[in-house]
Amino acid sequence: MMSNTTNEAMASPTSRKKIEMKYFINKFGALLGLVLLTITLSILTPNFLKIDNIMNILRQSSINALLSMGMLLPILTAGIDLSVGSILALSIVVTGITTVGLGWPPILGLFICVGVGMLAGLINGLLLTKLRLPHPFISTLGTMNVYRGLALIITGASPIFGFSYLINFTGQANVGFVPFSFILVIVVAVIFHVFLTRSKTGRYIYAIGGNKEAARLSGIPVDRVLLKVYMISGLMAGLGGLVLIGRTNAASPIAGLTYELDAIAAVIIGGASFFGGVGTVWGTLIGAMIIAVLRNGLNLLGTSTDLQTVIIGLVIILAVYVDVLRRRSK
Amino acid sequence: MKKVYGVFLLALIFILGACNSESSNEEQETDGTPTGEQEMKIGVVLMSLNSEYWKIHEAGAKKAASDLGVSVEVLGPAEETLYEEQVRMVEDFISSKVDGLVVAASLPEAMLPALQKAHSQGIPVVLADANVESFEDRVTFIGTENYDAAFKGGEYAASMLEKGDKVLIIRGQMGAKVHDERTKGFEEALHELGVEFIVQDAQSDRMKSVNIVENTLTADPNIKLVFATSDEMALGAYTGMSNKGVTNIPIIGFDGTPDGLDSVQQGQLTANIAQDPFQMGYLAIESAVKAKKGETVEKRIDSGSEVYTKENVEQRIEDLKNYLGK
Repeated sequence: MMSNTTNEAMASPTSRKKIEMKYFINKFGALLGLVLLTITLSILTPNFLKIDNIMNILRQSSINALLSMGMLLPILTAGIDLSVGSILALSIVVTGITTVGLGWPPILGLFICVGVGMLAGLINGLLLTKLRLPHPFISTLGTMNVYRGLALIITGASPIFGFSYLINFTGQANVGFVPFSFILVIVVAVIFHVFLTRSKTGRYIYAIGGNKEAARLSGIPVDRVLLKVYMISGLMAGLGGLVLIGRTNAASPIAGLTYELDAIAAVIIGGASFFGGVGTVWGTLIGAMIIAVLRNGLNLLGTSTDLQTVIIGLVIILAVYVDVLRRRSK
Repeated sequence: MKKVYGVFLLALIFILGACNSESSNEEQETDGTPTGEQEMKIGVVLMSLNSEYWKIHEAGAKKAASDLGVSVEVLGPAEETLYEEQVRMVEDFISSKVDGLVVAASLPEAMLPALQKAHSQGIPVVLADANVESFEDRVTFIGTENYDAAFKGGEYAASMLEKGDKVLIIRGQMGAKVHDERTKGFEEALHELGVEFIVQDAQSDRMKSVNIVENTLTADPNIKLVFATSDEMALGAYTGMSNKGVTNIPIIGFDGTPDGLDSVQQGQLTANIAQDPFQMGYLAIESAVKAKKGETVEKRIDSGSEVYTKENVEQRIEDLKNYLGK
């Protein structure tokens, strides 16, 4: 699948320099934003650029980073997964019930946490491809409520505490002074990058996002690919849940409320298009970092949450506007 | 497109700059009292900043700060359910090297790792409103003795009830300790009288409470009294009754928020078991400052409670108005 920018470069060879600039902004706009944001914040607050705080940000960004990499796949296919926050909650409470409540071995808990996520994602995929619900916005809006409700029912609405070290490890441990959860994010990002750019399924995902009907006609097994897409998205929610357990030593059925919105925001800020077919893992990762850096910096500045929400909203609007401009300039 | 980015970044930098000057102004205000040493900064993380209860708490904290010549910064998530965001706020305060922390954790046990981190970096931690039992290194826990307060409310309710009467209790989140204690205190005060309880979970939500009251009254019109473990739910109960045209069932609320007290004055609620968030916020800052200076602080401080009825509610409403600067 060719990216839009290469198309542009071939179409209008008149002002090369301008195109190079455009290409640069498309490719590195979000990164540039992150760098400028970092510089600004380090001038405004002396504690921002300290090692301690940087590790803090990496740790704080990891849950959203995992969720948003998962979210990238549905968005690449011009879909969406609104249920990731609820999947996260369901995964962690099932992990809690089995390992803390029933005393199952913790090592099993690790698989349960991502497994429940994957299963929930599979159901999302089946609703979309087998029941032919018109748009994943609707099917995942439904399961968002179903999974959340299930999490509340099976726990009697109360949180579970007291996880073993093995389960807490992912979210709690440091390797040297680097949070393990961030290393996990990087490893997952590399896998995702290879998957999306080198594997057949990866290229199919972009193709489906580019034009679903054309993809179907050219023999791409669209349904099977979509099934995988939502399974991976669910799996990543489970993995994010594992990090959340470690960070708080708790599994609450109300965990992950509104996380889907942060994940969507990170994907969009990272330059992916809501219309599908455009977006990268690295962009998404930078999107997640921008959100984390903004939240952290604004907290250090003592800004009220209300104003933080406004600022993050403005960043999202800008990112979408950039996408609109990009499409218009085609 | 470059322009768009440029304009936006400028706007962002401007906003951030404004935030910064805002917070430094605040610090200057409290600079008035000479301390002789570098000014102490206390970070406060509340369950949310959007309800009047927490605004009064904040007002108490700010009053203490100006009395003691220290600066405070108050943060809290948009919703009480966003407990992980609270954890992030505590971590961020640790990063910005505050001299003391006051934390009101909405999911107490989940806050433990962050509190331990603060303690390991030598930051004294005062817990307010909700205790984190497993965090033994706390300076103190300041909060309402919920059981005692609800017991007082139960004793008041006893005067309106007879043996065998049915009482509806609308409570917050099952398993949440505060609501457990409030439910238990109220029930045990009425234990001897021998009334029957119907307990429903409305998760501290006003709308859910409306529905529960409507449904319960439909199923069982014989309810003699309603006790809600928070004002939001008590006000929801009133709405639910009005919707059904019921006016003769007394409602007792819990919290003492301005809304809750107003509705006592207007006769919508019969009584309100009021906590004292202003006092809580004040004492928390005071204790954090004491701990930082190396003075001893009691391990448990009761911030007090009172049952308000039509007879004594007016004075309290005046006081709260003053706290909120209205």
